[in-house]
Amino acid sequence: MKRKIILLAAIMSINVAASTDVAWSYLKKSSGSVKYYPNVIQNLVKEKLYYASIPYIKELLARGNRLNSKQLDSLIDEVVSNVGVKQFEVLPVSFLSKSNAPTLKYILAKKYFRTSKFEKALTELNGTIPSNHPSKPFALFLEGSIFSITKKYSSAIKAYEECISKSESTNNYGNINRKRQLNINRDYCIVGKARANFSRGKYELANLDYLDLSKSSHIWPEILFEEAWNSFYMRDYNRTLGKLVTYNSPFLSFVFNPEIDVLRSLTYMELCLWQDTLKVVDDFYKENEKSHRDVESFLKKHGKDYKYFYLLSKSIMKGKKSGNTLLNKMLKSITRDPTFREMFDSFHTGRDEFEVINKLPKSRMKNILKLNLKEALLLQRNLVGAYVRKRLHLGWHQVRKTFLDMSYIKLEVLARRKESLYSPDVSMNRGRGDIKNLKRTDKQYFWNFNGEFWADELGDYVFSLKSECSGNAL
Amino acid sequence: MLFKKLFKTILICVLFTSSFTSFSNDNNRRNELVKVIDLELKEVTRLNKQTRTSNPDLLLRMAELLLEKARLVKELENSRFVKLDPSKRQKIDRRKFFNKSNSYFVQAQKTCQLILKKFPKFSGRSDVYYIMAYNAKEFQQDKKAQTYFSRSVKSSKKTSFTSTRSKIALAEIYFNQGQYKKAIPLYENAFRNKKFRDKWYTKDSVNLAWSYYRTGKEKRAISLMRSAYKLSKNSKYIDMSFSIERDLAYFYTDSGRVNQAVQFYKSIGKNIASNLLKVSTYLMSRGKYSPAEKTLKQALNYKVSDEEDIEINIKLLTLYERFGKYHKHLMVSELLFKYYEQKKLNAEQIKTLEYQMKRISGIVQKQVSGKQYKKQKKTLRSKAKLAVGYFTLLAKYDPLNAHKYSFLGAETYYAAGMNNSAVEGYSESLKRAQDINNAKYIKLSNEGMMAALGGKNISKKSKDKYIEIAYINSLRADSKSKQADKIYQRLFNLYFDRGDIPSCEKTLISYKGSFPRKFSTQEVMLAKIMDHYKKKSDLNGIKSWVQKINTGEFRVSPKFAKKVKLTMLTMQFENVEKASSKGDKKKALALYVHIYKDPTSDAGAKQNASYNIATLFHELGDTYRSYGWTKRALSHMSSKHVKKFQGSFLVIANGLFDHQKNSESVEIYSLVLEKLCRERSSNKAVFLKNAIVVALANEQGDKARDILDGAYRCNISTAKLDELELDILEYEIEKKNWTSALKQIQKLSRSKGVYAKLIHPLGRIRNAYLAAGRVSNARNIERDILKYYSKVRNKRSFELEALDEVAMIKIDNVERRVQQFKNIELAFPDKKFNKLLQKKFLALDGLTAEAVKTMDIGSGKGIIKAYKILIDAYSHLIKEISNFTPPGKSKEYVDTFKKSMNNLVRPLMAKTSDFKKEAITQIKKSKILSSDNSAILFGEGFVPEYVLRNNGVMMDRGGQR
Repeated sequence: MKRKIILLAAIMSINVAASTDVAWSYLKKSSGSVKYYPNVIQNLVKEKLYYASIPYIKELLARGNRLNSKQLDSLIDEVVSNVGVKQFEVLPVSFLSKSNAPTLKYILAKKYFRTSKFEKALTELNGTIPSNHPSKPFALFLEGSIFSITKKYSSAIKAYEECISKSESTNNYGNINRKRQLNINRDYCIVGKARANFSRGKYELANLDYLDLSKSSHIWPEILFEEAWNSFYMRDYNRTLGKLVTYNSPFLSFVFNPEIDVLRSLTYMELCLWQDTLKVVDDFYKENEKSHRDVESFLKKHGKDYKYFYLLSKSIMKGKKSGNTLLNKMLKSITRDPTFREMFDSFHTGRDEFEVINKLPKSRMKNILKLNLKEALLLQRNLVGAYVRKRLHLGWHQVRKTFLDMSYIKLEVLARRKESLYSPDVSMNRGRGDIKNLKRTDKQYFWNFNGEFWADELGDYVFSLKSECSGNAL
Repeated sequence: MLFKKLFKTILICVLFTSSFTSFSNDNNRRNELVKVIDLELKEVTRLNKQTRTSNPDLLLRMAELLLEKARLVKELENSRFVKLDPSKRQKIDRRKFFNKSNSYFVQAQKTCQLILKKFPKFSGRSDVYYIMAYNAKEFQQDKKAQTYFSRSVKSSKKTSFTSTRSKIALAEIYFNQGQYKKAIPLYENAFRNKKFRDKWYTKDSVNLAWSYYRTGKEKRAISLMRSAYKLSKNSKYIDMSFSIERDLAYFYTDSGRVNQAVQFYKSIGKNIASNLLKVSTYLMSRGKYSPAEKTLKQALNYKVSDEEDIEINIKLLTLYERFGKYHKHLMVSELLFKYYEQKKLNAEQIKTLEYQMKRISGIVQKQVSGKQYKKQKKTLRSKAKLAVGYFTLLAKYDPLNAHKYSFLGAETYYAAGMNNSAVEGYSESLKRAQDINNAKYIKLSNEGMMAALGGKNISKKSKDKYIEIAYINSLRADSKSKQADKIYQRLFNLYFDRGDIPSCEKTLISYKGSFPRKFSTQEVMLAKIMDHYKKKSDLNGIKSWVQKINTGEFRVSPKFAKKVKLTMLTMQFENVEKASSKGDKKKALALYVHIYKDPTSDAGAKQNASYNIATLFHELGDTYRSYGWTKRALSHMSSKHVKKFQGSFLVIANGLFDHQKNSESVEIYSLVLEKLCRERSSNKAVFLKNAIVVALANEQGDKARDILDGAYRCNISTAKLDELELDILEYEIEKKNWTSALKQIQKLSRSKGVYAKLIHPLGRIRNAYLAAGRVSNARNIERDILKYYSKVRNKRSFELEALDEVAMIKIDNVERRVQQFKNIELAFPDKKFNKLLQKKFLALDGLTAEAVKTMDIGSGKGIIKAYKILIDAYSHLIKEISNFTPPGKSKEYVDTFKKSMNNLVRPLMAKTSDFKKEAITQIKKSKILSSDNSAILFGEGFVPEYVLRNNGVMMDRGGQR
């Protein structure tokens, strides 16, 4: 068996050597131009040297004229599908627009989307990606999102529904990563529908849509928060609290979303449970104030050291922990993030290409490929690190914003309390509960999970708190 | 937006805080609120830090919270302050006490200033100004508050909440300042925004209505007031109906629409009079007394019962009190007092009436006693009557203290100078006080009565009626005080003025009993009595007092005693002097003798009488009686008196001497000298000299000696005494009492000044000794003479006799040398002759020199004697030389010798001749009369001869044969 494997490997390397030789000959032929780069790329892709081919694709996009080769488009699609979109997202619009490759069109549309150029994004997507193209489900999700943002909810829902079906029907070619991406894309499209309904105020529909998202979905934990918001808007505060309390479960300890506490305190406030509200606010400050300051100095200290952030995320994935709970939580959340996972996995797959190249006989082509691969992987690693850094910054800002929100909530509660002290009659008219009812023990406010929750019950718990408000709550 | 909402809440809360005072558990609530605000502040501060002070909204919120906290803390501080003990409250440092709240106000202000500085275009700056305005209001900085409210109005949106509130606040400031025209548009503008109407709308409407009213828009004012009245019934708004009812009444009343007011009150079922009462109360609280009075008078027209009448009048009473209309006040008081007597006043009203009566009586009384109306006599009297009116009421109101009020009334009259009324008042209070046996007021009333009686403008009638009783009463109550002292004097004067001397005397004796040491006053009184007696020539009256003084029963100062006695003397001698002045000396003498012998006559009288008798006898030339009465007078007289009459005594004594009554004159001289001895008098020396000279002349040496010895203590100049000692010396010499004379010289030798005068007596003693052969004694005296001579510098001061004595002593020496000179006899051989001759010449030179020296003494006798001696000595030498013939020598030798001797003799002869000539010149020039003149003039052959003409008799110096 061992021999067979060795033989097989030897045969493979011979094939690779043949393709790289051809690639080399085309490269030599190019003699400084990019004329034969498609051929080079073709031969490299042929040998699944996707990362090694990235520099040639980028150079071709940068230096070449408009690319009108369907073959080249499919080659680029293949490379993008394997290395991820991030490598090409960093390219300028002018480069990307040279190609008709559906994946690049998708990337271009995404870039426009990010800069709020929704019309352009839609133009790039419209008819450029064939319905059976592997990037179609993703493009549809993007399309749905654009419609949703531009308040074209029906179109959005339509796009999302198509996205769901495409995500399920698209061939993943047995690639686990691809399959996961497609599943996640499908789940986001399910959520997208719910979000669109939520946006247009159809909370009931949104609620139903959220129910379509399986609890086993990778994104379910984060979407649970949205469901809670939806319930809040449906004035189903006990349900909101129930959904939010799910985050206290050890199963979901990785979720980092400070807004969960904001929503919780707001919900208590709506129930006129002032002490509960204040407790949430105070606990949040207590828990995060110092860590937040530490994270700030941590981020300042490491600046744009992407390698560090990459290594940090890697160590977290291996189960290591930093001393800062907030940082830990954020990193845990990041490392579970599908985008991160995709980039990270892609980086590691790219590293496999080294093995292929190393097996090549010594040649200039081998050296060049090694160099190219190294360059592409370094960029990938930095992209991973940058993503981690960006998410950490985002998380830090999120916490900061949450602090402000919490303070405002506290101020609101205090203002109402004060108002009641100034004029009990007026506050009664405004739906104020009796002050004495606010005095209850901690147990009544917060659920204790010890032995009472089961994983399958997560997200379904509904609180049974009585509103302390005598009239209509705000 | 959140903050906008909160801001509104806070404004509402700030407004609500003012109504907190009605809560029983205010402080707990405030403390709770402060806790909540602290939490809010903490949170806003945290937020502000997180946003790095970039959000003006947060700063605004912070300022709001600080302002809110400041107000709450201030309310807590106020509540603590009010609970403090008033005395402690007065002492407390308010700044320190309110330090905490102030610090929050300041913080709020600073925060606002920071916002305006850092965010000048901040959209919420109207809210910032609003806070600053409230802050300024808190610190009573109305101008600042006004400015900030104006800015708040300007910077806010016209229809915003802040704009509305700021307009109302600003309007309120203008309203309070009385700037109604400015307040009106602001109120009107603010009211247009109906959505911001709060519960204070009714109150603001009332303000606006008042503003309308003040600017003459009465109809609008009444209409708005009625609308506010309706809204007040709604629980959404503050109930202002109480003030509106009152204000409307005022509006109606003031604009003369009383009927409408009545209608209005009828429509709301209220009583017009009681509401007009409310109006008046309000007006009074605003210090508008005139309209208040008007309203109350209107109310009186609509009164329906005694109760209302009382109530209105009670108000009027208070009003008149504040207004200072005290006459009206008294009228109302009298009216109410009638109600009081009818028992129609309730306890509160009685209390008010009492308070008012007491207060105004006090005020008016104070005005009367103060300086303010001192010059406005008419007003002063009117006010006094007013005060007494109150006191009369009060006396009726409080009969137990009626005496007190009568007294106060009297005091008021007294202060106003209305002494006649005051006396009556005091008399009344005295009577009342005596009725209840109140010692204090009896005393006070008496004192007052007396003060009034002693005051200006007191009528005779009043005086006659009250004064004696007042004095006696007063002295009965108190006879030893300062006041009593005065009263005694007044009573005395009263009696004296009436001519009631016995009562005067009784008063004086009583006064002496109470004030035994007040001699001066006693003397004044006594003097008056004496004067009276004197005027009435009542010697017995005076005598009785003199007797009291003499027996010590009545003690007076020596001066006064003297005066009294003098008065008596004057009276006694009055007749004598009359007789004397008419030249009726005999009658005068008889009267004087009568006085002298009168046993009631005192020493002074006796002294005077005896002196006058002595003088009269002297004048009559009766030396014997004059001498006797002089001695008697001197025995009665003190040295001072003697000094006074020393001239007369000198004349009398001289008269005695003139009449050769030497011993008597010596006695008078010496007696007077003895009396004057210790007095200062230039006549002392005269009396002494006269006494000594007359005594010596009368050969009373011992008497003279005694008198002189006694005079040494009389402070007579030493020169005078020495002069008299010399007189005695001379007397002793004359009497040849040499030992006494020497003793006298010995005594006098202590005075250098008399040395010159001692030489002649000494010379006479020396001569007596020499005559008696007591040469050694004489030599001793010679030494003394020369000693005294040498010690006197001014040689001219010597008497000629003294110089003669000195010269004679010196001449004695010259004569002794002449004798020695003469004893040298010329002899031969020639060598010896020459030696002897030389010796002779030397001796001649020596004696010539001494003789010339003797001449310098200046004694005429000495000079002539010296010349005589010189001439004799020179003549002797001429003669001896001329007569000497050398023995056993040849003639030629002798002739030669004689010739040469002649040559030697010739100058001697010339000298002798010169001496003679000089002596004669001296005799003539210096008119020297000497026994030796004859020898000079005539040589030795002259014999003196006395030729007596006109049967002259030879006598000695004393005139004896």
